[in-house]
Amino acid sequence: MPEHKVGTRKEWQAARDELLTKEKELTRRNDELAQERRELPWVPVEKDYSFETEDGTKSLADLFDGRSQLLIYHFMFGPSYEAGCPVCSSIADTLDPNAIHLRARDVTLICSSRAPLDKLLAYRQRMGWSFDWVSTAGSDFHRDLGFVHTEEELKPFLEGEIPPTVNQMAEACSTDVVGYVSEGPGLSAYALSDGTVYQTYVTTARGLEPAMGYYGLLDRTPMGRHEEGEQTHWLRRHDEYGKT
Amino acid sequence: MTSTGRPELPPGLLHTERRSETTHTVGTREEWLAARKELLEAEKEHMRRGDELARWRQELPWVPVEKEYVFETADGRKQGPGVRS
Repeated sequence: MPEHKVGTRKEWQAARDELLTKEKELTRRNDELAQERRELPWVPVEKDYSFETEDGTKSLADLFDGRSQLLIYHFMFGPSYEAGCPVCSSIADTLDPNAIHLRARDVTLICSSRAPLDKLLAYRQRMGWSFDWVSTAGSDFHRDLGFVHTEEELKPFLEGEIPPTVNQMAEACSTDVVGYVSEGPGLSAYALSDGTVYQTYVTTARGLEPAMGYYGLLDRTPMGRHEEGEQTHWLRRHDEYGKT
Repeated sequence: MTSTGRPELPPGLLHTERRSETTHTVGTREEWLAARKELLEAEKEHMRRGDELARWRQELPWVPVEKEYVFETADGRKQGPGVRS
């Protein structure tokens, strides 16, 4: 356990009240940022993307599935992967049970990846998820959003020292480092209005943390995330904890 | 936390999110990207502030729980470590 102060309930309450004021400020700022997200201009998606789905080939408009809003999680599962990225898998653990609540708010939530559909569906079954997962197969959808990198673009990264966590994740996906980092994670949002699909929001990196439920919870525990200085990533697929 | 005499309702019940009606504009990819970049800076700043508050939480004093609470669990009755037999 880390070094910590021990106090009386009264001391705790005083410190907690002060923190609460700051927490409320942060919540209000969060509301403002959500508003600013909704105020971004909508960009018509003019390219015709096609997706392989369980129900055959579909367009981006089809993926709305009768709703007016679409959220797509770009799950790192490239053509060379044998299993999905463990971090994306932890995100999918958060997304999956939330899809039903989002549907009640006119939002369809799906995942998309570049691996062939049969690989995605087999992995989905292993993990016990039920969200729709589509394959971009040969389309440039992920590339156009900035979530696919070529080996040429990755050269500076690949020639440097590869962080051990990246090697670990590549290995967990039974691919090599180039194959692993060719894919990038992301979340993108769309609106369907009068038959036109608009891109409204895209995020990546720590912008994905709202979909990593455990981080917000760890931020409220005595030890927090305590990831600093760790050589390997602590995260495992939910069916791999306890395995050596 | 101390009781204020007001019930603590689950978030959302009072529709506390301050939302003004959004009329969206349609823009080009370049316009979107410029606005998105500006928002990204604000999002990063907000993220860092969130990190600061997480650290602040970890710095709260720890308060020893001196009362012995008893719980019924799937594995039978459990109580504080002080009286564990």
